[in-house]
Amino acid sequence: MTDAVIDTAAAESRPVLRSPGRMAVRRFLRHKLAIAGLLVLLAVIVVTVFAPLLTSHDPTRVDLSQVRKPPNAEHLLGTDGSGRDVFARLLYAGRVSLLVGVFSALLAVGLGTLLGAIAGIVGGWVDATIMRAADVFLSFPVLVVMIVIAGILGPSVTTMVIAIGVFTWPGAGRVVRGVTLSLREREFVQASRAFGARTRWLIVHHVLPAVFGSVVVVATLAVATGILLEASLSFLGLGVQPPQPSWGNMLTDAQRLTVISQMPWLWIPPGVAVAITVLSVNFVGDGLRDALDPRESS
Amino acid sequence: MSEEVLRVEGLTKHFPIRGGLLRRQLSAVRAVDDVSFSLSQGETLGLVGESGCGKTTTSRLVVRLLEPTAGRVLLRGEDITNAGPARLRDVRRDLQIVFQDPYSSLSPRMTVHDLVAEPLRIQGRYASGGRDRVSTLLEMVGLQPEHANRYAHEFSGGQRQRIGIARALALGPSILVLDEPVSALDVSVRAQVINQLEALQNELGLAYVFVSHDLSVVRHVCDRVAVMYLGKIVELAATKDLFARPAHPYTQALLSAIPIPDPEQVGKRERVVLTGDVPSASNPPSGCRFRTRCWKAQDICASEEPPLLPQAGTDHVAACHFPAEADVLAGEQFADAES
Amino acid sequence: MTLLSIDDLAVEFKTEDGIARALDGVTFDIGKGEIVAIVGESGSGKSVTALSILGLLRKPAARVVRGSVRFNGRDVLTMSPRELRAMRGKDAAMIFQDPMTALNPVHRVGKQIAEVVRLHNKVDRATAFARAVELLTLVGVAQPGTRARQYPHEFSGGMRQRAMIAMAIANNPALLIADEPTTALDVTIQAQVLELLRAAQQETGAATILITHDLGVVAEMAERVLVMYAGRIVERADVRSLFARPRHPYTVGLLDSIPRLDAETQALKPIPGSPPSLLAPPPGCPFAPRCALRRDRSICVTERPPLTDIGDGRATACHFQEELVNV
Repeated sequence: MTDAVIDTAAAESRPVLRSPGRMAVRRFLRHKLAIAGLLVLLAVIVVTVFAPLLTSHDPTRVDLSQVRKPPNAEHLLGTDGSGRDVFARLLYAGRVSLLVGVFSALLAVGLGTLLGAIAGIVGGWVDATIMRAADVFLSFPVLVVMIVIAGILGPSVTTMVIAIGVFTWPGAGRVVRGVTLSLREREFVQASRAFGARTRWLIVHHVLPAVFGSVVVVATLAVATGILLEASLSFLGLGVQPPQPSWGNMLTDAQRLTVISQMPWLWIPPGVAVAITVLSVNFVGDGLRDALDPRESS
Repeated sequence: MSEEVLRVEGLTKHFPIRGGLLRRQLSAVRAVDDVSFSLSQGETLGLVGESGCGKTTTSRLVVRLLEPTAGRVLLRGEDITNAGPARLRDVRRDLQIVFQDPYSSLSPRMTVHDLVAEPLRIQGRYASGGRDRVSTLLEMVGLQPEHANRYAHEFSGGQRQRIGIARALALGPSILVLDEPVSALDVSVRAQVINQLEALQNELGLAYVFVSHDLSVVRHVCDRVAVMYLGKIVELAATKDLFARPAHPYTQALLSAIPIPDPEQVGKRERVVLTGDVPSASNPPSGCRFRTRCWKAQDICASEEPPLLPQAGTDHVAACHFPAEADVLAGEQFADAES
Repeated sequence: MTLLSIDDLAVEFKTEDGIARALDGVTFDIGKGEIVAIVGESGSGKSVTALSILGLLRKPAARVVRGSVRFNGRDVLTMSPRELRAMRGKDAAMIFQDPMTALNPVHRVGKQIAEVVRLHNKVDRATAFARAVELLTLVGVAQPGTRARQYPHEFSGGMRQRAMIAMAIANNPALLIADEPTTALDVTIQAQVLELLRAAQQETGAATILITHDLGVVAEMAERVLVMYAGRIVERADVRSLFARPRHPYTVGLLDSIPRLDAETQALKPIPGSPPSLLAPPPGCPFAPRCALRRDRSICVTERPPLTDIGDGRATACHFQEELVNV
């Protein structure tokens, strides 16, 4: 049949299967800040999930005999204005923040990916409409919008998740659309079309694997945004309502000068908690971006 | 003669150029204009030309990755130009394409097995015996099936091109359109792939449309050759005739310009170095499109577009008002003006 | 008179997968005014050789392991950045493969050529620009005055290459290095540019190193040929002898495997396998796995054949090259 001796030595000489997945993991592991961020984030998650094991106090239990006590043996981080244990509140609040962050990110990214992929693949007026919608959503100052929504629908965790998710989808949408557009013209997509592949096949088998990396990065950063937004809203009293604790509403107290100057245990812990969580999420996002950068194709 | 398997009639593709606030059509890039040819069973037809001549666009039009502005594509006598999605699916089992760049035509995220299996999966033919078929295909192109779970980027250019060929053969087509299949490969690897393609053609009875800018490869591989310039076919003949007695001045210029790997031959051919550059396809010259670079151009060339007319033998056609056959490669003089 | 003398040059690159030996002991001379072609495929090291002549290898990714590159008697590898800058564009100039990336898209073409002139001559802008226009005329660009004021994207591929050649010959260098100057061009444009190169070479008397993988271009342009494979020179000969009586199995394989424009259709004899990886060069001859001449003889994989003179200015690196004499 063929007289050529096919030399697959090049393929044979590599002992490790060089799948894109493994290469990505290798790249991530080179990013020291990202690893640090990941560890911190995992610590935060573990601590908030296992909150009941770490503290015996009920975060919502009011004890008016212990109002605004500084840290002591009984209350590791002192108590707040209603005598509730700050440490317990800190841990349980983490759950809310992470929850809002993660679910709003999932919503935003899910919506954004779907709309972005459709816009990219189908093109034409569908693309134009979706992109104009994205522009509209982007032009609203998120915080203001959510204040309004909270005012109309009443503040709650669910409203927040939906509101944040619905207003931050354009971030993922644009990224996915961009990747899809450049993918559309790539020859291997043309090849699939030549075999008779239709839009759905192209999206599932080519677009989604290609945008996966970018989407993960956008999602990670959306989590950070979500956490910050939740904290801001709760701080303003429009998010999670007391007695349910949230890092944001724990900071509400800190609007009074006496609290700020004389009772640091009330606002430093939640402030630090938000800061390090958001920071580690961002570091992880940076590491993921390097690891999964779609420009790295072969 | 053999049965005709593919025929293209008056194929035309204009890409609109839009501009202005309302994105009105200002003009069009006339990439392919009134191209016609036929392909018989087991035959290899070459489409040659330089960049911008429309050969790649033509290849995409034939397999309907692009929709023609005008003209017809007939597969075994059946007009598939406007075939709907269902009919097109069936057509795609018979008519396939191999791309030029073995690096960009294979998805970096799929294993070799998945790449070759993709057409089968798309057409719902993987479930029964798909796995075996992939192994058979890989062997057919000279690759080892054991490496099918590796990724394409782990292979060399020549091997990747073979993967592309295996993939194109997955659905069992009888016609392959090959778009510059060896241009992106190292010189020493080209012969391997060319031989492989020839072997496959003999074994499977395939017909090829072979698009290339490399006349040396075309001479070796093709039975008949069509020369394209700025969207039009300017000459079409059996390979032997085209290379021995080219009639169109552009073909002659091409043959005189291509460097031959033999120092003894240097200086033997009359050298015509075409002046100027290829005109823009959005504003091609009136009449004969080649006239702006042709040493023979007369008034009629600007006013009247020359049709493809038969030369001495009826199978050899050229589009020129003043064709003159000459054995350029043997050093026969063909141009009055020296370079 | 020897203009350029490269002696046992070895260069390594750091890659993700390890150290790649791009050049593994390259030795050759270029005399004044001669045209030498370096032929090779990907991984042969031909471009790396060119870059090292001009001191353009990027540290720390590239590392010169050993060897010297003497240009006009001075070792380029030990020159300071300032000396290198003085040399480039004046004594030695390079013409790159892709003119689109070699020309700055945001500056007018005339200005870019003028810049090369001003870098090495104390002239004012107007004089330099006038010289740029003069050079554009020399390289056959029509309406050079207008064209000099245009941007690269307004030039066609062939014209851009002409502009690059203009930049290269602006200061009458003694050495021109053309790295695949016509690979990206159409055949008819290639013919124009090659003719121009030849004219430029004759006009300036510059020695020219022509790097290519196209044996047709070699036959047309070169006086002498160096064949490279896997970072080494495997054969050296004048152009006629190389084509008529090749004395290295790789050269033989190449010549047998390329389809010919002028010959009747014969079966192509491909070279089996592919060019080797540069990551772990084997001890013996790099061509051994693909060599038809080897016939399982073990010396080919254990001992590296040195580049040996075989008379008439020819040299080859093969243990059994005598067996090729009657091929």
